[in-house]
Amino acid sequence: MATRCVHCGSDLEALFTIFGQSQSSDEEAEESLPDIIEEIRNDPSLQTPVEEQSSPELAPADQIDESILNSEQLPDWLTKVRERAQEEGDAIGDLASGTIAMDAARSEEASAGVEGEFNAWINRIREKSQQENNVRARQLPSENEDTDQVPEWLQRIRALRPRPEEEITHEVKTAPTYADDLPREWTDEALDELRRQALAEDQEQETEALLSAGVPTEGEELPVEPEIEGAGESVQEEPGPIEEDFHNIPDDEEAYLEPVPGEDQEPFTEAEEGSVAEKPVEAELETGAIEASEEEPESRVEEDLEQPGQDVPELEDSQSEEAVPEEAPVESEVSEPAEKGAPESVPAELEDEAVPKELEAEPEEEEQPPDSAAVPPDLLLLRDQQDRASLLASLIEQEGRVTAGKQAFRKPSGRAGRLAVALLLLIGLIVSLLIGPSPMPTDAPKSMPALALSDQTRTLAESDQVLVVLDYQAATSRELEALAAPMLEQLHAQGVQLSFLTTQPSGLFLAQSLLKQAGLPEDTLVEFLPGSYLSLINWAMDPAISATGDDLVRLKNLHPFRLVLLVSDSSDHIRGWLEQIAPWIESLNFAAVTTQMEAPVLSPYFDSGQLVGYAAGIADGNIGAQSTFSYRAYRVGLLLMLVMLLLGMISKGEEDAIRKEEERSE
Amino acid sequence: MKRPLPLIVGILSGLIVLAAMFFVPQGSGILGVVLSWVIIVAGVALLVAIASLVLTHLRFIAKGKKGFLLSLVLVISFLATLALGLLLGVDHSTFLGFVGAIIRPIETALLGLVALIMMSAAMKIFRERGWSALTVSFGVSAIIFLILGLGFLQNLNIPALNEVIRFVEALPMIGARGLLIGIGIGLLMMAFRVLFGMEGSGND
Repeated sequence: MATRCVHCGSDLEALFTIFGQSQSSDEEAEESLPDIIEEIRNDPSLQTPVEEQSSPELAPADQIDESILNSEQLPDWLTKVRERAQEEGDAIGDLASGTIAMDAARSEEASAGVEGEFNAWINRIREKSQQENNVRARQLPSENEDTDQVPEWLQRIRALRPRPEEEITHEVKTAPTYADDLPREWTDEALDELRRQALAEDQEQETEALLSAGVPTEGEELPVEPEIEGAGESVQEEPGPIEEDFHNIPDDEEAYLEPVPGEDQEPFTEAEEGSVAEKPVEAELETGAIEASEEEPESRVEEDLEQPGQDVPELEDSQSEEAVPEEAPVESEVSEPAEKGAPESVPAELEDEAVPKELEAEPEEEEQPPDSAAVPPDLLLLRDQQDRASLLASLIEQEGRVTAGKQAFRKPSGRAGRLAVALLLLIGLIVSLLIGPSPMPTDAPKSMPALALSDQTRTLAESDQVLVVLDYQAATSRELEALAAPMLEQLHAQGVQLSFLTTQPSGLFLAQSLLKQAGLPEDTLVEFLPGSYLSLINWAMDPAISATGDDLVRLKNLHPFRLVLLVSDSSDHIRGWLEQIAPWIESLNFAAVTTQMEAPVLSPYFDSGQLVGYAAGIADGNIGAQSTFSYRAYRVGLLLMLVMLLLGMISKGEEDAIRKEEERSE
Repeated sequence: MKRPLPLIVGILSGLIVLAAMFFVPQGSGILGVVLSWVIIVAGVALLVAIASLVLTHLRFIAKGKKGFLLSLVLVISFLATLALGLLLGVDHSTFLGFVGAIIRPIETALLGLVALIMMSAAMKIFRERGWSALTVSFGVSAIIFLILGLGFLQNLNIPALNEVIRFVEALPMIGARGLLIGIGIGLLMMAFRVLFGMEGSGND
């Protein structure tokens, strides 16, 4: 009867208090489990924890029962019930009990307290034992057997098997043989045992592959977890290698290796199609049971089935209670000749399957480098893994050392290069200026728009009015004034009436410079036009209607003018005049004086006739004739720009060539 | 959700100007008023921008931020120019000479730096961008027009060469036409977006 909560381990005895029951028995029951655990822990002679694992589970119940039975205060009916329960066993059933045990094992994680701690301790002991077995397996103990007669794979198996006198023998409970030869009980311990056997067998198989080149692939031989639904092929293949590597094959196994008739193999085949989890243990149990029944008593079965460590005792203990009543039918069934033949076929099949698997593993081993034959496969590393391992080793080695922090890669700012370019440009220009004046050749051809503009200005009469719109910044004033000033001078000389407008505040002081260069009187009115051409749109559309008394600008009506000369460094502003004003006044011609940079954008307007002409650049005006202009410095500047461009292309090509060579060398 | 008032104002303004352009006798007066409003609002916006600039730099000076000396120079220059303009008048020759003597060399020097920056960019463009169609076409066209700009080929006075040069110099017009067409289409789409209230700037 459970007196503790399975989830939290708290005592529930108070809930099951029976009137008249003494408290001493409860206290004894409460203290039984911890005491038992302590005894197990402190027992130095205890090698395997299997005994203690089962004993704590059984002892508390037994002690509790005893305490209860000994109680004189219990009612008679209760006493009878409990006695009957002890005699008849659990009413849940054999199958359900195994399931419940499995569920209890799965919920082990949730249970805290004594049970969890105990199980963890058990697991530690099991792992330690497993590690010892692995070490022992790698040591390749020398056998006294004749190697000519015993195959190497068998030698490896026996190497994993500890000496009988060193290990504690435990009674092995054989599984009951039913019609389908499948056990009906699977406890948690049995499943863990199965898992450990599979892992041990995997290691054995790996070592066996190195020696005999007969190891089958790992995927085929990995034992399937009890919870995993294995494929049919893997299931069919499992019994072979597992049985092949079964470590409890006696030394004189050759006596058992007899040809098996085909009919005898059917039961074994049917067994293969059964549960995957049950197969390895089933095979073990079958083999163990059959050997025991044929030649040796149960003590021999114990020796053959014993695992290195405590696995077999665990299996034994877990099945002790349930297997005991079934041993008799197991042995009786096994004694039948038909079933004798089926187990006998197992060793034969083992050997038969081992041979083809050895052959299958041969080409795999041939693919491996020669050095791998001396190294267990689990120690073989890929190059990538080796690199990572070496990196980890270096990191661990450098741990704790004081190292300089990783410095951020500083990209070159380029200041030095820019400074060099600036110096080159300055030196070239200064030298070209210092050499002497260099006017532009007078016979330099002008562009067609410039020629058209000069023709247009030449056709202007004395009474014609020309509106000059100044729309440029101080930065481009030198270039534009150099282009516009001679033209204005020429127009003034022709007697044309000039009116000046500026659309920018800076145009007021810039106009003074232009007027001075053009030789015009300084008191010439230069009117500021706020909003540029927007102020003139409605006037351009219908000046008669737009005439009001409150005008921002005195000059409104553009119709009297013959030509509008736009002096601007912005092609957008010029386009605005051409698109917003020009369509409303068909008799008004528009010309432009602009920088060489804006000239390409204005060329379509000249081509379409919206501009009668425009002057852009030093070649279109009379700049070349001016003394202040140095044609040589202009050419030096262009040459330097050309050289820099070519240098950039060459350096890039060289850089690509160097990189390609480095890549080839790598 | 867009605010409705700016959207409505933008749509109405566009429709009025468009209608005035089509119905000239009836709409020219309204168009003049609307355009006058635009000019006045643009002027006020300029004043607001100037005030904001001065206030920002005054804050920098008050807080002693890094570079507050530059802000101090800016504020002093602004105040001095404002005082002179108010006292002498914007048409006064002295005032104009004073302003021109400062602004002209500064802006001319800045334009000269542009030439220097373009020269260094011409050297680094291939290292930065690599060999691509854009960079290669730029490099080749720049080399051709720089050589033409030197005037050496024109001075040879070879008629066939002059024809070739004239053809090459006309090539930028082809690109300019495409550029202007694109600008026109873009402006048209922008106008439609404003008229139909799809322009996001109407939220402000």
